Amino acid sequence: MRNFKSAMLVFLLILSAGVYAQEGVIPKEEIREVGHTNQNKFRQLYDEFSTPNQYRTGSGAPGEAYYQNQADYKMDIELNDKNQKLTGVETITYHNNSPDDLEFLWLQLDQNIRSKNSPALQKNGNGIAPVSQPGKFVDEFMDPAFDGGFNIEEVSKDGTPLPYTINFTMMRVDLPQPLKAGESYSFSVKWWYNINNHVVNRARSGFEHFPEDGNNAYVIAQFFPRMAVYNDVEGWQNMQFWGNGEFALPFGNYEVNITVPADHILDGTGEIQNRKEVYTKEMMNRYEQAKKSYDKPVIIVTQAEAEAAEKGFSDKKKTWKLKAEMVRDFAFATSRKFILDMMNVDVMGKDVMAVSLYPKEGNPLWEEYSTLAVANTLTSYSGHTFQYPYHKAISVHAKNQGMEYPMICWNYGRPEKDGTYSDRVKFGMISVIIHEVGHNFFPMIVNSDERQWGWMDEGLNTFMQYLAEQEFGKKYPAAIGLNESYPSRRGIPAGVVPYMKGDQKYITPIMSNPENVFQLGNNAYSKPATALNILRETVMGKDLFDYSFKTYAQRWMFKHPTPEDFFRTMEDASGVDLDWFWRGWFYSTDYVDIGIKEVKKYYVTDNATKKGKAFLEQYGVSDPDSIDAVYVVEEGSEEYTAEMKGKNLFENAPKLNAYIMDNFTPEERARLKSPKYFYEIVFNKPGGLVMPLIVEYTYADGTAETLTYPVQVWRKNDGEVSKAIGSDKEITKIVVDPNLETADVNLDNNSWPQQIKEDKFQQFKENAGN
Amino acid sequence: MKTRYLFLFLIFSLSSFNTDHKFYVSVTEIEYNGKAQSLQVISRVFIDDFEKLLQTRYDESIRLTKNGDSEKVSGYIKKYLSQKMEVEVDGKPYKLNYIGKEYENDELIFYLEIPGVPEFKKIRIKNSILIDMFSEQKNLVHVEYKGEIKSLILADGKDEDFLIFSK
Repeated sequence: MRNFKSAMLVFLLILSAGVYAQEGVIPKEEIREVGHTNQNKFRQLYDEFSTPNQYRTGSGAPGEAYYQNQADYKMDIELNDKNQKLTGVETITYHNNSPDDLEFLWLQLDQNIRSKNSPALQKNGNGIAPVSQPGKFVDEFMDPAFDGGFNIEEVSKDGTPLPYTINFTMMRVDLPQPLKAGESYSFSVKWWYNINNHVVNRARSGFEHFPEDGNNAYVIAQFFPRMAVYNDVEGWQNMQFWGNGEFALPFGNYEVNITVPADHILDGTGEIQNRKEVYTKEMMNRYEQAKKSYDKPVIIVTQAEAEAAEKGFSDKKKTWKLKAEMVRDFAFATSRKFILDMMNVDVMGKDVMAVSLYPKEGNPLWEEYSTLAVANTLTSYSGHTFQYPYHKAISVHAKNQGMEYPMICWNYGRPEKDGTYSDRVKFGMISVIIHEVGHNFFPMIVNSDERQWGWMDEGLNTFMQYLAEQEFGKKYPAAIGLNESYPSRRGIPAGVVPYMKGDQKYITPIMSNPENVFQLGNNAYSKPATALNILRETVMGKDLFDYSFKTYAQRWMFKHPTPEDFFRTMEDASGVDLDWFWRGWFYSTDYVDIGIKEVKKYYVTDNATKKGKAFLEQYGVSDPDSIDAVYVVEEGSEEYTAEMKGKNLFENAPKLNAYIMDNFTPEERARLKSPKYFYEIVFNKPGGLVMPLIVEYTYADGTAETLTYPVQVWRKNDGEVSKAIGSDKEITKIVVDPNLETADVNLDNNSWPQQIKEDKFQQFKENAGN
Repeated sequence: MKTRYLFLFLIFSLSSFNTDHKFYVSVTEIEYNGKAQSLQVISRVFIDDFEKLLQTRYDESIRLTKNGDSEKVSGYIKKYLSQKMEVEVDGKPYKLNYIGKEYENDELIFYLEIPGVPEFKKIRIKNSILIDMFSEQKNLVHVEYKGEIKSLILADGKDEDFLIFSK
């Protein structure tokens, strides 16, 4: 009986035009349409995802046969400051942990992108400008390119040369016998190259020259032939380095001796093994103090000392010995211009040294903020992923740079010559430090393949950067000045709208190789970071998202994840089906545009309406009086009378009242709602992306409530969906996505009654007093 | 000295590396307002980029501040934009009126208007702002005409292009 009652009510109060229309239209003659494949936005990603296997499971975790190869390096490096030349000998021990025998090994020669005949110089199309500056013309058509690139002097095994082939930025070393599964192989490479001026060439490493004092500051990376990754997904990852797709590198242990002029201050990846030899007594004392300082940096080389050193130009040499375990790369910075400060950071109970290296040109900004930004990054990121596993993190100031390596990164942000700086320079500097130090987590430890997928580290890291920036703002309110919160550049949904609504010709899916995108900043940084932010705030909720994101980080810490491993883990740990989200946001260039198509207002009556009669006839009910039914009348329609508006539900439909009296006890009746206003709202979706439907209803009494309909409302009709509402209060306003959470590219259709288009231009013009 | 500085920046163009974080981009939205018969232009640049430009091109001491810039700075901006942005509608050049600017986070937003524009088919746009400063600068231009949006990416070597609308 109870079932019947509720079924009746639902049937009687059907307001869905969709159901009505379906039943009402009987095609006059049968027209057969062609068939189609499953194009549902909610279909699972079986076509796009690789099939899970023993290496990578369907849950997104490493499988029981997961392996990764390892490359250990012993290197002796010497920097010649007089002619900016870097020389090195390295012995690589490569451990083949794969189940496969390898006939040859591939090494990366990234410096070759700067060789004179590098094809990368010609990778872009260009046109001839009608007018050129003479300098530009010379550079483009007359100037010889910089003489960069590796000079490989020897590849050998115990003194016996090994055959090798160089193909642009890749070198294949042929082995006398295949390297068997489970075995290791040691060989040596001797090389040198001319170091480029990174300020002129906008390179990721090189030197900056300071004409005022004649010194160079070196930030050195991608500086040695490095082993390529061999794995279950790519085989050898020997895709060439064209400049945008960054690095794919195996983990390994490094012992590196670096010889530089004796008056240089140097730091790099790994622990300094001979600190007492390379530091002065005074520096050692300050270093010991820094170990005890958890709240502010201790200056280890002062500006005065650095300025004195600038004049030295020592002919003597000094060798710095560094050792690092489980890192995927090695980089260092060295100059006699460097000021050095350090501060200890408690990262979830572990001591980590936050370090900054900067020339005096970075002050007073750098001594104030760099080390604090490093410290905040370590604690913030660790909280969302895993405890930072290394013993230090260094931020080095280098003009125009923003580039990351294990434990060390280069960052921009330079005050004017007189030491003043704007907020923009300051926030730009803090943001880039957070971003680059943050890269220690993605991709230095969660070691994704940057050559193939720029977004996997840049997108995840830019998302984490947003969280860390906001935490920095809360921790150091004085630093953000008059801003309400830290002025983050990327992460807010509305910020990605101009990109996502742009011309489709210039947009590529996030799942694109970094070489083949039009706007790398939007494609690999902003859009994925914003997508993750939306996933966290709006789709999954913070708890489910944070737990899943942390699970991904911990599963793939010190391993090599693929996009699927990330996508699958986020579902595996949360129980939220996200295939629709990945498909839309990551595999397509669709955008969000959800609006209100129409709002119909209904009143209930028990007089049979025309539509009601037609509906009943289809079910063989020719006499409406023979059945208990209530009907609805649309406001403004033929059968609508003005008096309906003032009456309550039971006054309009006495039959309903009688029905309720007969079937419900007084206690049950007391708990029933008595809606007075009935609405059918049709939401439409001009945009291709499906998203949860967030709707704010405002009532005549001024109150408002927000309802979120699950994204699944779009699963049967991708174009529009209608919702029936019975309310005891009159609805005066309906707004879709009232808090701009979804990156909806068109807000003109988001309100009912339709808002007069808020014209930014007109508004400004009026305010400008014109 | 100033010329040399400019020269230095101009030879960046051949570099094939670029660093990880810094992108030089501006976004300009041009919308045709049929009622007012005008093209309304909203152009966004990064403040730090634009400040650097004004310093390099005009005066080292310029600082852009949210609390109000001097008449002199506004004069430079007006002059610069008038040199770097040009619009031609159905073959006829139009003058862009500079209305003003505002700050939003790390962006500087310019408002410009071209009055007296009848319905059109073809619009040619030149936008070379900041290209003289950063050779990697990309200027995105979106034009909305009767509900249809088309875009251009303008950059060094190709700082002008046209769009055809059929509505």
